[in-house]
Amino acid sequence: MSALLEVMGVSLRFGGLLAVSDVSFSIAHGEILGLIGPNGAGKTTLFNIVNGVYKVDKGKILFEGTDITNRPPNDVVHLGLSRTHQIVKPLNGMTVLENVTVGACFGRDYMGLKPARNAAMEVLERVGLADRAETAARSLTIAGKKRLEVARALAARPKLLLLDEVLAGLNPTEITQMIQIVRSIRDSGISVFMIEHVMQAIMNLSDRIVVLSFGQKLAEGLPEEVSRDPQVIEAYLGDPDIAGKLLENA
Amino acid sequence: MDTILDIKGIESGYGEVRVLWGISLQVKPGKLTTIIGANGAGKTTTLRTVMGSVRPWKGKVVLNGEDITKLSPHSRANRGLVLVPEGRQLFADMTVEENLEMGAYSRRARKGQQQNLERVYDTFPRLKERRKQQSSTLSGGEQQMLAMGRGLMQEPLVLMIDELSLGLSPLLAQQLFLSLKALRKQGLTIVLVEQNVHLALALSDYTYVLAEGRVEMEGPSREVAGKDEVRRAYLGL
Amino acid sequence: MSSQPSTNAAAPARKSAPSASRGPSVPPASRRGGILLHPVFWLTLVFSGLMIAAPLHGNNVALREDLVLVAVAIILASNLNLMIGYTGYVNFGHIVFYGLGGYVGLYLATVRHWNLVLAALAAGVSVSLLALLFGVGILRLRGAYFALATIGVLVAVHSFVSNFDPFGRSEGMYVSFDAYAPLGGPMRALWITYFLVIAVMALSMILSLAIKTSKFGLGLFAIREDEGAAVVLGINARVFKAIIYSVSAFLPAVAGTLMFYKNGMIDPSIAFEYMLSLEGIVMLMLGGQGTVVGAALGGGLYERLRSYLLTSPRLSNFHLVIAGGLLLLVVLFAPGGLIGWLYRLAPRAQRVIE
Repeated sequence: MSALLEVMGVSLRFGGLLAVSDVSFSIAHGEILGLIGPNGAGKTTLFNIVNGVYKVDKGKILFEGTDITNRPPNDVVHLGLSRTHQIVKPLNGMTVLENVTVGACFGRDYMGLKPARNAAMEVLERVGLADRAETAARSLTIAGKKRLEVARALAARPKLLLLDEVLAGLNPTEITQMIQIVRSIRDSGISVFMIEHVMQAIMNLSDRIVVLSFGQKLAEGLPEEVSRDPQVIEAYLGDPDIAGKLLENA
Repeated sequence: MDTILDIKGIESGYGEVRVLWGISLQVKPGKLTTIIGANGAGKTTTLRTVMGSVRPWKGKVVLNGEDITKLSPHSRANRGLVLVPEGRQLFADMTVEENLEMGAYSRRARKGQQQNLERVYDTFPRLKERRKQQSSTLSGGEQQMLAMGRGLMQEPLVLMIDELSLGLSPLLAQQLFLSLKALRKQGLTIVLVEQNVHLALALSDYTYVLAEGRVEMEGPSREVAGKDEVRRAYLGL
Repeated sequence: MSSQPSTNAAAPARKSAPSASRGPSVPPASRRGGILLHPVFWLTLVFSGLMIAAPLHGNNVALREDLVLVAVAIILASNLNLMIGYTGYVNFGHIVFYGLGGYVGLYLATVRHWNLVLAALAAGVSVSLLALLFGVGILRLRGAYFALATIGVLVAVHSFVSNFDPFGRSEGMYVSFDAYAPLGGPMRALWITYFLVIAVMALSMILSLAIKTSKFGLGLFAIREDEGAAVVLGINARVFKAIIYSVSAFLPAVAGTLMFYKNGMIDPSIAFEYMLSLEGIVMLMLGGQGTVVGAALGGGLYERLRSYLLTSPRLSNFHLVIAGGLLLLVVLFAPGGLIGWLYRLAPRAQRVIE
């Protein structure tokens, strides 16, 4: 089966800085691909590229065979690509249900208001927010807002869901719950591409891992392999040689 | 005295978001203690909470036997707790010398200002060369030196440094670390947050490994250095 | 990137619309039934009916003249609401649609001898199209820059009209008596235009309601709350904004034609009263931006206050001081206006009204 998402040689420069440099990878149907890398590696930039928020200087992105390179975000939603944000963006003046209804209305299926509302309720059940349907979005806790963000993206009926640090700021119980939700999303046939700093979680959740460092792909593979890859270890723990030189001179 | 800086069961964060879930550290006088851990583990938050810029929800900070948990940052500084923050936060329009003098602003530090200035210039001869230069014109490494020098001007009992080698060339990082070692030999207590794990372990006496807002592991640096837990704290598996 | 943990403590980036995000909450998705079952729809019809019946009873011309101003205020506030209350983009130059519509319509009706209604509709369409054109340009801007650009549009149109020969340059145009002949003479014409203005008012309110309860309206409110999030959710914000900007121009332009026809003259200074643009915002904020009832309430109340102040010998000079003061008070203490305040006291009211 062909890949769901294919990213081929994408590069993006911000002024003098090469934020993303010649990155290629693919995501299969029904898999969770984790994206890790030290701070400033370009992970969110890569998300923004796939999602259409940033335009690339070079490279191509194919979604189910369709070229989506440089297409605006509101377009790719209709093809089946949704995303959540690192810093959540609830539509504060609206209720939880309304937020998710927006997602359903303008998602892959262009639903009318009434069917969208019903679809939204179903999604709220799935993520466990159904009892907060009429609450104002602004009064949710962080965990609630993160779930809302996921629900809203799910309501668009995506084939691929981009999750940007969905676990950040959650307590251990909330993390466990969110992990369940992500797993159930994958189990329902939706692929997940996720950035995470909570390493234990992402390493255990992902089917495969891509490691970014200074805008370049450093490694790709199974979590167990990647976590023992010397280049990856160096990217996180630092250059072992500096220490050596120092001890020499000391 | 056994412990000069005692941090007990700190829980803190920003707004709704909890970052630290119960951090306890014991800093011994005259030693270099380092805190390592992945980004987001809570290293900077720990230092900021100890300094008082972040109010803890639970826990205590005891300096030199005194409970300073309720004190403002500047009161803590007056008692000898000094933070060299990440990003340095120098006074860009002031000269090197003026920045250093600002370090001796508190009444406590003002007395020894001249002496300390000489000492800083001894430790960092480069700063003496550039004493009249605007701090914004210094190189990254020199700015880091200046930030440390300013910290030293405050006559610290405990000097906390957030990120020493970040953005510096290996050569400069080396120089800075050597100065740090010298200071430690002079009896200064140092708490260091450092990106480069190998460097941190090579340099320090005692190491705390932070992960997801908790102390995953601690111990004498030489012992910690070999352990796979360190790799796991960063890479999760 | 620092080693600071990524937190959600920082508020998401917002446009600097004057507390647009603190207006009354939006319940379009919770409303059941179509617009014909909506209480506000019936409220509008009843209100419009009263507005027609009241001055007719006893041929009360003075009352009619008072009420026509109220109707215009409601038209302006309601349509401005589409931009400010629904979409979160503050239009400071809203009056330009009214004035330009007046010019185009009056020109067609008096110089070209078109039927009044056709002239008004043509004015509406042409001004909307122009708005679409302008909108595509200025709607890329956010917050304060957009607001400034709307003033720029107003100033540009004002200057253009002041120098445009067919529109009479700075002297404007007069309506000769025989222009009223097709409507049966000036007396009858005044009544007919009054009914037409009331119709436009009713349409403004019903249009606002229809948009608010529609999927398009939901999209607009999403843009108001967080445009970045809206785009990522599949809303083509650029297109939505351009459409609503254009739509918000239509009925004011139609009303402009009717009003200046009724008043018998138009010139640049009375067509493009900058203060009226600002007062439109005051009305909207006072009543409660984001709601149909709020716009109408604010328009009506403010217009009455304004008329009272302008005719009072002592207070007429303070009319703008009071307007400015009211705006400050509302923005600082009650950004949801009267309706927002009502909803805070009685949250149930929101489910019932809108």
